[in-house]
Amino acid sequence: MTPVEVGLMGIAALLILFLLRMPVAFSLALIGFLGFAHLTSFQAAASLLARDFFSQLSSYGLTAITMFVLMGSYGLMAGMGERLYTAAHRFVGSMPGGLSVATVLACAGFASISGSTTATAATMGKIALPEMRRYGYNLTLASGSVAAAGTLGILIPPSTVFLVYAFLTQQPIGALFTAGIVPGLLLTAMFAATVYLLSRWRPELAPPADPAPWGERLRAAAAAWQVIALFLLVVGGLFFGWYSPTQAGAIGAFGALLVGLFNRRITWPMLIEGTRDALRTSVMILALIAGASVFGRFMAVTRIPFLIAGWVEGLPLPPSGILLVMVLILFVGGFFMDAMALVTLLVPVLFPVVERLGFDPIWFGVLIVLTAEMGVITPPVGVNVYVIKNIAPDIALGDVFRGVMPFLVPLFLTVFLLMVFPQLALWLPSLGR
Amino acid sequence: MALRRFARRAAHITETVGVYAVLFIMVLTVIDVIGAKVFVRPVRGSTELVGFAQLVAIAGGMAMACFAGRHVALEFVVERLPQGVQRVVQGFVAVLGLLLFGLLSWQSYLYGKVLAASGQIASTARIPFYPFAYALAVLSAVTALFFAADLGRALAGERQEP
Repeated sequence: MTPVEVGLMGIAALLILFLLRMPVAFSLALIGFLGFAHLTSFQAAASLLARDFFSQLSSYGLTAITMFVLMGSYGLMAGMGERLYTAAHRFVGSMPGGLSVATVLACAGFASISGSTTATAATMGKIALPEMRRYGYNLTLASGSVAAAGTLGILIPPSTVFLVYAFLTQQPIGALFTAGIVPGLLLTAMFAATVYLLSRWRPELAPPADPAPWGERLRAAAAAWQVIALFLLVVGGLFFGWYSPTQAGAIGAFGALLVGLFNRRITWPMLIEGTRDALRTSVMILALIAGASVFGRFMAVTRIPFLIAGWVEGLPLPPSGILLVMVLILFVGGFFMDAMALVTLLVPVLFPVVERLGFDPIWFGVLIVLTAEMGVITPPVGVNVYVIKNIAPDIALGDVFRGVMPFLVPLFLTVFLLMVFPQLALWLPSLGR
Repeated sequence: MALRRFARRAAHITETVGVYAVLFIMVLTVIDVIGAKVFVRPVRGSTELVGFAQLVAIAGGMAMACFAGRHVALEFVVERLPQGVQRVVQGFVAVLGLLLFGLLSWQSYLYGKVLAASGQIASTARIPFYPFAYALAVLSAVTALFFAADLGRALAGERQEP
């Protein structure tokens, strides 16, 4: 068998293991090892397995992921989500669909301290869903808006997907983080507009809440200052090059911990449990990277990624057409796979094509994140939808999926705008160069 | 069941070590930043120490993340299969996981021996690499234990967690 045939068989075996519910990270490592062993030797492959895991898990660059995950976990315990939601509720709650709009705005705010879609959706779901129920909101709209707005967690910095993309493609994390800000704000505005238009069209979906007096609004806004301060400290520091991504994450985590202590929300047992939860998320992400690294070695020996890059480059399509095909692959892949797994699996294959076609890697990173966002709310593996279902078991899974469908329109629109106007992502990072 | 209880206990202990390693990373990095920016005296070898601590944290948390079902896996196909077939699949996946982490443990031990023989040390922190390769070997063995326990469950006809 030629190396390419072995590689194709390896990919087929990988898909079979995925379908058999073997964790994606371990499937990648196992097939990568077996394929590499077949093409070289057992000894070389076995040694590579240990060395790859050792080097990836002890990589200083990857500690940024652990620290930013920790920051989100402490931010959650510090009660920042509640403060954000209260502030947004007081300001926009009385407009049509106001509580859902408030949820979208609070998700965007929480995304500025959390880099995960599920953490954002879970945090806001627990706070916002009971409030929307209280005002008689349609549960399809209510649950759908939380699940969809939770996706902002990986677009507005910090973002775990940007961190992994940066590691896989050797791009500067500060530039990637700042590139996500404008598209993130644009998407927030469009999510809010979607809720508003739906509520104007069918007012019974989202009855307005009682208007809050201005004094109450200002007090609620002032209480959310901690989130803004933490965001500016972390992302501002990265943008101006004051510290490395790991240092930014550690400062963010420590800052969130101090806020939690200041708010009297974090105790020692909670600190340990919050750290434990963050560790489990970090383990999941870093295991994927280590597994993808072993699999990547196997693929490199087969030369399949280079052949794919050459084949795609030779397609009778303009570069924008090829880009569209790649976005489509990511979109369809998102139906079946978690965002993080999809990125670790496909970025090493697609990135050489992006480089050869001369697209900006920072801009492509934002496109990747946007398509990954679609993946976390589309069936059958819409992880955010399952998070909401878990919080509100009485809402049918189908209703949550139906609820997120209108929010795919702004996501597609943002992808389209980003393809037509790359400056939406590239303008802000260009100021820091 | 005894194996599973033992594996879970071992996983809990190694995860707790990992939790303190994560806290160590955060505190050390903050001290390093304050030292470098305010007193122009960064912590010597902090990046290497942070890297080693992360290895202990992630490898230490690997088994418990398996117990907690935190690794990304495609659930939607197997959960539609009959219970008997699910158990066969569970057993098959457990064997593969056991082989993978058994191999990783064994090879990390051999890698540690190579590192010890070569006397390789971290250039700034001046600490040897090999104890961390041995740590990876021990912690991977705990993850292998998880799969061994899972295989036991499949053979005993019990359902998979969570």
